[in-house]
Amino acid sequence: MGQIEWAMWANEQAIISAWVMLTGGIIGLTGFNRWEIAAYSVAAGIFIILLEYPRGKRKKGHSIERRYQQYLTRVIHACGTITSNYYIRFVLHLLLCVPAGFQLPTIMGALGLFIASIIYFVAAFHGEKWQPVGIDTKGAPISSNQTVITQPPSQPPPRAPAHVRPKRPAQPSEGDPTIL
Amino acid sequence: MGDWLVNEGPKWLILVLWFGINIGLFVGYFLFYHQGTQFYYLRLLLGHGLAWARAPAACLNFNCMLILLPVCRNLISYLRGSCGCCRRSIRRQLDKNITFHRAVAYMICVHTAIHFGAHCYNLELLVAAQTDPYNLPFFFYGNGTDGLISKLTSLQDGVNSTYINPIRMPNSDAIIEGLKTIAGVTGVVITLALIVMVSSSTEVIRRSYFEVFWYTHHLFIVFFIGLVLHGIGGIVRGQTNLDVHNPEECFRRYLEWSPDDATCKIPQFQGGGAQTWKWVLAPMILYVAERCIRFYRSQQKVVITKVVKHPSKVLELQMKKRGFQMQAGQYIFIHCPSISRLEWHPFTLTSAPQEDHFSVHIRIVGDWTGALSKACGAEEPEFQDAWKMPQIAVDGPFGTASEDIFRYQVGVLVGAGIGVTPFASVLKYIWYQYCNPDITLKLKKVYFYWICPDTLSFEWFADLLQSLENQMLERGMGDFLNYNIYLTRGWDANQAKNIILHEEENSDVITGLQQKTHYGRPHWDQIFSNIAQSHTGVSVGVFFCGPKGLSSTLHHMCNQHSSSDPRGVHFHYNKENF
Repeated sequence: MGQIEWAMWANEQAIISAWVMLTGGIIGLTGFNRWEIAAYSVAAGIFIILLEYPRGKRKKGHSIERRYQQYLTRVIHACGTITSNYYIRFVLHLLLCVPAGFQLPTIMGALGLFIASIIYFVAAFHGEKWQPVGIDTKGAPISSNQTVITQPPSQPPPRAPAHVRPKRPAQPSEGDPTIL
Repeated sequence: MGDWLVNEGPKWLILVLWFGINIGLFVGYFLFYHQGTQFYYLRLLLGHGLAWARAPAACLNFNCMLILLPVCRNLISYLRGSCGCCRRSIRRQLDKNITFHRAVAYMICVHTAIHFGAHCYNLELLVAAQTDPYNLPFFFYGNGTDGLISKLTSLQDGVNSTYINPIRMPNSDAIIEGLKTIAGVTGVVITLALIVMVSSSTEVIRRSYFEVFWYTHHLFIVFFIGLVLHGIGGIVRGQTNLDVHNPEECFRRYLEWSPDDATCKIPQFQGGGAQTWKWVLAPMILYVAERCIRFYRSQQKVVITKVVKHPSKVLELQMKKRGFQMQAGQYIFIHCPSISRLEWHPFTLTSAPQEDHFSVHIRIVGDWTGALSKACGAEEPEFQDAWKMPQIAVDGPFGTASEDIFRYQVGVLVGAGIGVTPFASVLKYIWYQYCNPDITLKLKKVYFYWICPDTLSFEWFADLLQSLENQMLERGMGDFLNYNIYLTRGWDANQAKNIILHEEENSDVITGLQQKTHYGRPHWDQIFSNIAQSHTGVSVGVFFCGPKGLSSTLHHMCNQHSSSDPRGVHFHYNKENF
């Protein structure tokens, strides 16, 4: 299946299901039994849309952001592991979809969200993580085998003897006159 | 204005027609269920919900019939080829098939939402009528009394009696009762399939993870099976014995209904049964035929006769296939099972129809093209044997051909960016026609304008222009084709020095062509007025392939420089959708 990132699809599925759940919840508030479930579905739908709105950074290729997602990216990034780990999202969506399954208008949203949670499980299983787009996460200290440059060199580099030096066209240069 | 009608008119006509049929069906079925006497008692139970559910159902039937048709690309190609009588602008609408497929899909989503929403209310009302008819939900709108509701619901299947309420048992849970019906189960399944298909068809997923899109889109098989089965339960029940029981009079006397009564016998009901199959059967058959054709074509042998490596990671494949016929400017889909069993990628044909092979120029940018390059041995330094070439399948050719240029005495071809690729085929085609002694062409002069940021990845096209130029000089026909290349990215300091040094020479320093390369964007006003002056009294065909902004500029120029005198020069703008 090539270089697929399941989380990208899980994200789309979760957002669409959240919209369906939200709309179903609004319908459910207009006089159906168990209006509490409808109210819950509206709230859960809004929550999931906000959570899933910022797309994560793709491992390979150009990450396409949703419009204005940078504000939510910061919020999601600030929550740390809770939002970046996809196992947690799998459990979260699984739990969130259950109550919505008990009222008729919201049942389609619940089923859609269930599918999204499964795809998130697959994503987590493949080791994917949510990374913020546009925020530099590599603030880690430099590893030990990297040389750290603190000051520019004060001496010019040593030169090879004149007869093996590569020939250059005559140019005026500052510094030592070249003896060819 | 006339040009707009010719170019854009057919598209809007089709959209308006389609939308109009949707509205017509919606309103028609809405009124049928809202006013029909046979649904009087059902409306008593359901109120407006009945009409609001059945109207989108009719539209769903219509749109589900349409949705399979735009993806039958071989059928479409056949239609385009065989409708030689139709205007090209009408045939060209067939190229927008996927756009139409998406529009129909969105309409299906909208109608599904209305249909499901209305049935939520309906189901709750039917369950409440069966369970607690004296305590109906507040959105109950039917104007029957509680007693009448109870009476209707109690009608059973038996001697002289049929039921109206499909919910046969009291239960406080609408979901469980709904899932006991075929319509309920199939409805949930196909709506879920629709949601998953939509989520995997977003542009991000389609472009980046094609296999997800392609595999999940096959849920349409589940969708269509469920759709056909959705109505077989016949749970929307209309009255069948209106002649012996007029609901508008008898509803008041519900306590007196009996088989012996003179005017109000017991009302009998029957479901309409499945209707959807009548709408979708033919398209399903056509689609199955389409897949069979694609499979058959994929089995036909395609031989790679030559692989040429061009600069800037461009690979040219020359191929042969028995019975392959193409026209200039068309494209094909290429399939390489050893790389991916699923992917078919489109490429514009760059060879002319008169050649004995067909060729494509492929830019190596992604996984599939990289793997293709490796499989064809383009990475190896030495020549590859023919038997080492990978197996290839080809579908097509598709797309509109550009033969209209021969209707004019003077042709102006403008290719911008990647839009220049089909012109390779078109220019070669024109050249072969011109060199053919049996044909006298009306076309006497061709101006070609190539606008690109730089010639990177198109060195092969510059080579093609050079070879055409040499051939023309050999035959003494240097005047037939006039090239102009515009490099819009400008030049850097080194290039500037080089250009100044070689300013006096005959051939261009960048491309090697006799005509010089220009820098910056073309001055269309000047170009068009020069052409108008050199060719008075003829009709000039202008053909463009590239981004939209330039298209409107050229269109404007054509209108501006066309002389109002019928004997003067006329520019005709043809927007090509390659």
